[in-house]
Amino acid sequence: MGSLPIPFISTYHLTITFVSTIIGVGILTLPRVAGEKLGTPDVWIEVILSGIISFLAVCICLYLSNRFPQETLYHYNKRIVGKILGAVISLLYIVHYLFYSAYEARVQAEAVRHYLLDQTPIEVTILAFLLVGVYLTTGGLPAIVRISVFYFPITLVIIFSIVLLNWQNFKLDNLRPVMEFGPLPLASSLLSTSQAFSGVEVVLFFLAYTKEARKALRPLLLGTALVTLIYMITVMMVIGSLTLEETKTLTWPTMEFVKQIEFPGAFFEHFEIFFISIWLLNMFTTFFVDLYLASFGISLLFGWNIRPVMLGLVPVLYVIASLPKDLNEVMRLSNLLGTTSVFASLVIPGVLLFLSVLLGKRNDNSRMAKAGKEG
Amino acid sequence: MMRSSQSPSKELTTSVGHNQQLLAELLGNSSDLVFQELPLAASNRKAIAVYLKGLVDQKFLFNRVYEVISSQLLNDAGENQRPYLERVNWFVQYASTFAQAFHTTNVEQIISELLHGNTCILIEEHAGAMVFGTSKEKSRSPEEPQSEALVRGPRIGFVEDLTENTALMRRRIKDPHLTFDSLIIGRRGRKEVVICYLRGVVNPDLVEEVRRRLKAIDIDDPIESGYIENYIQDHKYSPFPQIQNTERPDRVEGALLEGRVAILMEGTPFSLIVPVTFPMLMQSPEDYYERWIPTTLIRVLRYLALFFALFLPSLYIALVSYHQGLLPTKLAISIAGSREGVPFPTLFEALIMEVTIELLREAGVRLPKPVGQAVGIVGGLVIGQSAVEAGIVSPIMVIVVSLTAISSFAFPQYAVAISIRLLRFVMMFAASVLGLYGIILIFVLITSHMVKLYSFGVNYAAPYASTQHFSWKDLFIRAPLHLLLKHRPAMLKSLDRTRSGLSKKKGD
Repeated sequence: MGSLPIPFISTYHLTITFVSTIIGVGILTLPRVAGEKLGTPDVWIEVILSGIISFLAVCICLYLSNRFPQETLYHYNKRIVGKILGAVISLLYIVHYLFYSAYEARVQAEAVRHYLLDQTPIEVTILAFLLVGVYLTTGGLPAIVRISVFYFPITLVIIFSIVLLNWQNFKLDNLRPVMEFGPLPLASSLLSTSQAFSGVEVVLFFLAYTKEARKALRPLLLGTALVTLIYMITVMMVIGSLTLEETKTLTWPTMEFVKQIEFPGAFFEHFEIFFISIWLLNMFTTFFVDLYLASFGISLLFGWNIRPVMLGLVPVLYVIASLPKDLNEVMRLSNLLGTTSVFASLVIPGVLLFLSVLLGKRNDNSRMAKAGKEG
Repeated sequence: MMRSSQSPSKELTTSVGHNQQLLAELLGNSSDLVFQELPLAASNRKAIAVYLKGLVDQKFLFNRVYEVISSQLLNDAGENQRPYLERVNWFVQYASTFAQAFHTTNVEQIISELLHGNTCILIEEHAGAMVFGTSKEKSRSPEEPQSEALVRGPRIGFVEDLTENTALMRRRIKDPHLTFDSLIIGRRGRKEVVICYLRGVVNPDLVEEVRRRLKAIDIDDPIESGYIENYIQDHKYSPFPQIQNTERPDRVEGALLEGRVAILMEGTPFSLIVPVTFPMLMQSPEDYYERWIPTTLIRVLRYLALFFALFLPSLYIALVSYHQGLLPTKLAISIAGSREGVPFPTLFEALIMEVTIELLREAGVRLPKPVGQAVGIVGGLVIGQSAVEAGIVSPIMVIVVSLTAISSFAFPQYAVAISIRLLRFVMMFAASVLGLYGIILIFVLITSHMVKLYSFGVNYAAPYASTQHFSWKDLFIRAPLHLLLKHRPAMLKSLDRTRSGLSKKKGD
């Protein structure tokens, strides 16, 4: 893994992979999580704010990565803060991704138990998810990018048709009043929405494999905007048609919202089949990335082969995923991960960027690469 | 090489008797080996014509070859009163000017020529043989391919004869860049295989890779091109066909023009095309002959057929046995009503009908055509009807299975149809264990497998899920040709990217 990776992700695919990585659990729970904390229907404004902050984080990650072209965070952190501290940072990210992927396996199992298989033991669904997930992940990053591209159009079509089909239930009144208590409460509950945006820090890893990584700002802006738009529409539609009070009481508000679609014509009556399918696909795309990054970090840190690491992580993930006793504990884990993802995407990259600028650390061949491209 | 151990001297000598014995030994004294003595008139010397009965064109042999021999060699009389050996040399020189005739002393080559239906002439006191090309081109005349029928398109297909097939391609593409590279595969069968491509269009690395893989094949006899396919494919344990096979020269033509490589083999009308991606297997040559709007509709229909063939029975199983709540209420009631009295679980019910259909299909293929139809009627109507009346399966199950069967006939390539058939059963089992969730898991597995699959360096899911270039023009819709044919597919990395509209551009 010492040699430079060959960039293969086009900017267009970067956008898609970025979006599919971020959209995961959040789309099902965001209206409740944000609504509970905020207490006013202004959740959609908060989503926009979160989107802006996420974009800030993306920018930080982007500038940090571009100081070390064709290298991931796992490679270059030791150059900024030294070998030991670098290993600690790598380890933090690995643990974050491990917990995140285990959490995904658990959440999907909970949702599946709630909506599809109420008799099947949760252990079966967790294990099935992990095993299916690890199969693709052994294909490496190219396979992950491809499958994201594969699922993305399906996701878009389904999400937007949900919005269209539910149009008649939407009442603008449910979103009023706008900013009843001024902008201050918005700022105080930003942290809770941030968990839906966790995953933006994948830029730190993907950019090493991206063609023309220097021009990645626009595709990433587009990606962040797309995520924000999808979340905003979801939140607006859910709260607009279910009211905030009801949303707060529902575990999976978006699912309930989809369930109430009453569109004439047999199968569209039960649109949740389509929705849960694409939601699971998106859970997979998020899981692929997190599992890959966790095992990639481990394989770099200890010099092990990546495939055995991936396979070896399955039992570990299974244990972590089985740790929470009930849904409440899962949700607590989710809040915790929301906080750690702020560190992963904003605080650590920010500090690293600051240090690398301060100490003048950058990759030697960055200038060469730049000169080579211009020449 | 393999028979070298038996004969004492593997060289041709001046003794014609020894030479005759040598050839007879090398060919195992086969009953179809003919030694025809041609006595030289004045002397008691002789020449011997050796050939394999049935392989040679007797008429040509007698009319032309013997005529040459008798006029130049046998005739001792008249002005031909030169010494014998001089006359032999003269004959060899004279005969070598003939088309498909040459002189050789190599025994292995002689054996190979004999096996190809050529005749060799052994001459007394001469340590060599004259070979005449007398092989009989016994091939059926090209007819419309059975396995890939089209409404519109050329009514011609490949035949078993390789020369005929290469000629067929040459007649279709009159470009000097059309290249045939020949090699022999099989230690015993020794089948000639031709790599066919358009120089200057195809990516040379691809041709090199094809050649490398073909050369690496080490088997006794590739009986059909399926053997070669099995040896050169990337993933042997995948359910998907990674190499396209076709009987249609026009399909090969289209592939060559896209920058792909075709492999034609002696003895089979099925040629192989590499690389291939899954969306390519969903295309039919006819797509490009008809107008683009109806074609687009047909293509969407084909993907719908793919969805039905893959998911319909498993969706039925999942919805009926796990998620009745997800069905529209009226439909749920009518399904429940129709399933009343059916003693089996849905999976078993579906399996009964699916297996019956598969049996019918298999039987229909094996039986002669008129009988096959009768079996179809008996199977489809009688069994379906009576199974429902007997209460073994529900009528809706019969509808589901029939729709699935019809859908699986809608694929333009048989190889895809059988892959999907297999995957359908996997889906059905998954659906019976984990319901809709199982279906989604298998879907993720299949798509994961697809994006991990490569066919000669091209990703199997390209251009749908490609990291290089997403092309919508020839995927679900078939864009009008003036848009479609601007460039060759990017995933093939061909040398010459432009296909049309060159006159509008500045010369390159």
